[in-house]
Amino acid sequence: MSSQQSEMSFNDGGGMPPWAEVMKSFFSGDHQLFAALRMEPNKVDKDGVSVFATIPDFFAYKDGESSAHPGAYTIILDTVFGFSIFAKIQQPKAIATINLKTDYLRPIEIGTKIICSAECHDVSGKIARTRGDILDYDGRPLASATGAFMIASGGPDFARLGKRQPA
Amino acid sequence: MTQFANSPLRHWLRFDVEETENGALYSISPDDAHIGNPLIKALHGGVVSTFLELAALHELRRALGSDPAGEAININVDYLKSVRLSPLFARAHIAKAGRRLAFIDCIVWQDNEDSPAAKAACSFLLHNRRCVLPGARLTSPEEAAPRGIFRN
Repeated sequence: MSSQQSEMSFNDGGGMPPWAEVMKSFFSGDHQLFAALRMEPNKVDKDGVSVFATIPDFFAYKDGESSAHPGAYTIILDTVFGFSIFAKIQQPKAIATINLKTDYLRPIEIGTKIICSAECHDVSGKIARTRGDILDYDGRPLASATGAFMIASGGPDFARLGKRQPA
Repeated sequence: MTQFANSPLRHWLRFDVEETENGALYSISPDDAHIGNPLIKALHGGVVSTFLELAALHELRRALGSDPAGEAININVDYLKSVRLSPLFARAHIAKAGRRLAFIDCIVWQDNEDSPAAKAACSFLLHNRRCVLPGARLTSPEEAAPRGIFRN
């Protein structure tokens, strides 16, 4: 177990439920994309999730320039929105993004560490709605987004990931 | 375009552009680094969104005949089906390009262009752009002499 995992704060009211195990597995380094974004959980509870991330080198849009393509924002927001749904429903159900609207507020440079905060503010039947934003370390907003997701979208539950043994 | 041709992002996505009789065809060739859901090996939605926006930006560049000076304002993506780990294709359509704003719609698909996997509406703020696109309002003699691909 990495030091990052041992410092995670899963405020679930005791124990480590399956949905929290799933999130831990995503942050274990096995998931290539999340590992590349150096995603580290900061807060995880029903009211919201916040995750640190660092914009990787491969998001440089032009050769020799340090500015990152804003697509990095959508990857981070889509990911943290999914985690906020797990935390809200307290189950690692299969979920699928229905739509995602992202507003780009400020550009970002390669290597910048950011914090993404998100909450699942409504679950009606199989539809979950989320909102969140990305801030830099000075607290300036970089991007904000809203999303709609389908819960129990037909794929396998993510509980399978939480049951995997580390390699 | 030259700077993007050698950019890390292009290499990471394996982004390519092919000119066809129906316009530019954009593509990426994803691998394990782009997976969002490892259980079904589905492409991450944010990767799809990044591809859609790149296609939109390149369509704008293609129409202008040069690198547009400006910035992305927002993107609204609808995910219509799960995207597998196989080549993904996109086409973009300029809905409106004014002097200050451009609105571009894109679709992506895998097996059949008539069965899209996602669609997006992208908006861009343009800086210091001279009008060269059809349908845009001409405000100066210089703008009335189109350049780029619309030059007669």
